[in-house]
Amino acid sequence: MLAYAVDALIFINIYAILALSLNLEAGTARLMNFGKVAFFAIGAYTSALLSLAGYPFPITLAAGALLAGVAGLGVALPAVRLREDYLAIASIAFGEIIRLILLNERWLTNGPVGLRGIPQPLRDAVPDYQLFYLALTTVFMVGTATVLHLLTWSPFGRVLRAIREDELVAQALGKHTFGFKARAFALGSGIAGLAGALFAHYLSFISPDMFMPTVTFAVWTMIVVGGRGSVPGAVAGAGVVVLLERGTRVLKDYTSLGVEPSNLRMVLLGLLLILFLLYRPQGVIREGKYEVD
Amino acid sequence: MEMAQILMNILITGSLYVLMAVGVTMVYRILRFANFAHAELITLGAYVAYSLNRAGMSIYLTLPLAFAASGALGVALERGVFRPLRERGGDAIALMIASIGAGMVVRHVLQQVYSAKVLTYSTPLVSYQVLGARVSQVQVVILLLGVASIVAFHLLLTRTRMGKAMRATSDNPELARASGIPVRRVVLATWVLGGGIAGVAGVLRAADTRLVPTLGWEVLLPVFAVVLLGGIGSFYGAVAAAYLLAAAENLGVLLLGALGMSTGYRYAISFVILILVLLFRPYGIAGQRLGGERE
Amino acid sequence: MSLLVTESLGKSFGGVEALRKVSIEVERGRIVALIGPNGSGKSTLINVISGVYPPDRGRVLFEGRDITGMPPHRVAEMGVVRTFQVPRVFRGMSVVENLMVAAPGREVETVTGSLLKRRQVRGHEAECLRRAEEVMEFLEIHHMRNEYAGSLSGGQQKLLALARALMTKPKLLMLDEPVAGVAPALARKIFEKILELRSRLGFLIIEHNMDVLLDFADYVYVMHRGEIVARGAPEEVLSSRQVLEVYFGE
Ligand SMILES: Nc1ncnc2c1ncn2[C@@H]1O[C@H](COP(=O)(O)OP(=O)(O)O)[C@@H](O)[C@H]1O
Ligand SMILES: [Mg+2]
Repeated sequence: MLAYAVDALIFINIYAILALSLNLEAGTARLMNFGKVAFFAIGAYTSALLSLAGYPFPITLAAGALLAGVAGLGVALPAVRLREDYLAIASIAFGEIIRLILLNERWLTNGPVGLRGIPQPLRDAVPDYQLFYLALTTVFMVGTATVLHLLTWSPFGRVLRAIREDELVAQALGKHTFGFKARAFALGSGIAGLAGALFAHYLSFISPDMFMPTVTFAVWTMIVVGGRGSVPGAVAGAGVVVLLERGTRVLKDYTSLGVEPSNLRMVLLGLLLILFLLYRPQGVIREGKYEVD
Repeated sequence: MEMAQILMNILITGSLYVLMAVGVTMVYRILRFANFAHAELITLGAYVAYSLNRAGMSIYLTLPLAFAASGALGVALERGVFRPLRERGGDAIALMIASIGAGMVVRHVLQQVYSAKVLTYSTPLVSYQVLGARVSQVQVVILLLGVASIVAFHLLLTRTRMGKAMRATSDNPELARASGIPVRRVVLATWVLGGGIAGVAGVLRAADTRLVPTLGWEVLLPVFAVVLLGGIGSFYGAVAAAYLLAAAENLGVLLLGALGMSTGYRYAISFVILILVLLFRPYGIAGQRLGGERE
Repeated sequence: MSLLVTESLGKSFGGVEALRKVSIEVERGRIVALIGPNGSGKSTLINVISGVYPPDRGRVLFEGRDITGMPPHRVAEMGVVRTFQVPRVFRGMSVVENLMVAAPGREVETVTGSLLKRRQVRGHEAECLRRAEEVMEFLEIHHMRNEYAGSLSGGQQKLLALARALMTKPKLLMLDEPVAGVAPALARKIFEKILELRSRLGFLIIEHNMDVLLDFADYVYVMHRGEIVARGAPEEVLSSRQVLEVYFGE
């Protein structure tokens, strides 16, 4: 029972990091990244492969985040100029291309079978590994949230919000909006890579079918429910979505409801998205407002 | 493979793309958002046909009912989700996210009801030789319906009042509304037609391949590629783009082989084309630039 | 030397020739008005000068430097700042934040700058806020500083747009119908504020109200179908037959 709760909390941490990264891009800067899962996957596979090749965890983790960030910059340079709906479609397509690469480049990724036995940092050195990993992911989650909170309410974040509200006006006030968007996208992608690396080492096994577009949609649900633009909202949204997922599994285990939990979960996520957009578009924790006395 | 067979495959794939793209392109132009739930309009028709087919109905006779079911779902989504969201000030992105949510709901309800198992229809396993290419009976129907729908749509758009209203609305929704066109009815007709034809296409694709809950989702991005390549809102552009994309996919597979790359990348062909279109020609081959915001 | 000079600017949209051989000049310390009926190309001229569209022909010179075709943010950084005909405020941000974001802040508006140069950022923020307070008091919108900009009335949004433009420390301000839809009393007040600012910068203002023009403008250009059809001191231009024809009859 405790193990189950700790496991859920670890997932909340990992998904919260992912949701925080999407919130920076989409919530603060209105960059419609629907290919989030690709950068999560790049972080996961990079860290896992380097780890399997014998590199120590701090290095593989940093490499996963860095490579995802570089990939994010590579996507951003041509793509952030696109109209928002086009960016959304293009980024979904990019995510699917990454998944096809994971499936087909067997020499590197082991194809559909995936990677097994990904080393876990300090596996034999700590008495309760799950609790250790909870502490580790909590540190990263709180760290990410703190950094992004500071950034959101800094001059940089303020320009991102201006771009979200009206990009042409931001330009007319002297802001090089392209540079701001590219940096936000790259940073968000790097953070997603960090989440991916933490995910891979926790499960110790990854395969391409863990990186379907539904992951992106779940993360979108988190920020829509939490409140787009809101840092605490992203964390809360991750909590809601992960607990919902756990809840559907419990329902299956303890009741005779003949519903497949994965179906129930996706139906509920879809309904949450629609209901929040309709009735509470600002989410459970509305984005803060900058005020002075 | 024989050249004739390749050509035939291009025509078959392209005809399915035409049927699937009509609804997306019209909704995108008139309501200004990318409707991801279109995938499930395709899938629903295929499952409705499955139930009827199991009950003994010929797969061809199920087509009108699949049309009705998917058309009705389109209307239900418009009434239950998209119109309320527009009225509450939801923008194109909110509508798009809501369409993803709606798609998730429908897809997984279907998956709950029918399971995720691969299903097949009982169809007559007849095939013909046409100019050196092998064509199954279902594929003949696909080709015929593809041509018929192109002709029918052409006539609808040019000869009927509703069609002209649709064209006027998609050219300029505000102007159409101002000049007394019943935009609301046009929008509903768009959902019925676009959704219904997608449902028919779903049955045909499932009959030609297999039936799974992701049937529509698997072709959604290629369909978006068709819509954008053709120019949003342009029916004739979409027709041309459908066959162009089909050709690119069928010939691209050969190229992959020649390059020694995995044929698993055949799905990537349309994704890459989609991205290239967005980056370099977002207004498509036929469509004009949508009037950008003034200032 | 003139602050702004345009030389024979031409711009077409499809078949519509929105600008034809438009040459104007704005000097520092002057309020130059641009008038003309709807669709005569006034907003297009501001759009071309500010880099929103490149011109098809002609040049834009600012302080003697060729800025033709520069992207909007570069033009703005040089000190040429404009407002829009429909007030475009950052609706989901507070009034004070609308102003602060407009202040030049290249060094601190980076990821690393914002996170690591904390002291420099604090200094920048304090200075920004001080100037924002000043501008808000000057334009009498200080009491609304913590409201969402989107909740302001149309006239208040026009004021906010002007305030925001002032925050950029402009050398030339181009205002596209700054008082359209503003109550007459407030409109005059806005122009009185503009007059107070005049000593330090140049203005190019699109405005229709004859009384306001007579009282505040130093020079007037009249546009019609993309061309400058008259120019001169307001008293002369506004009483000329040509201008009356342009406005009231063909
Ligand atoms: N982005 C644009 N695309 C097409 N036509 C435009 C665009 N902007 C302006 N125009 C056209 O150029 C002409 C001048 O418009 P504008 O400069 O807005 O006039 P004004 O501000 O004097 O009322 C009009 O005929 C208008 O329709
Ligand atoms: Mg104008």
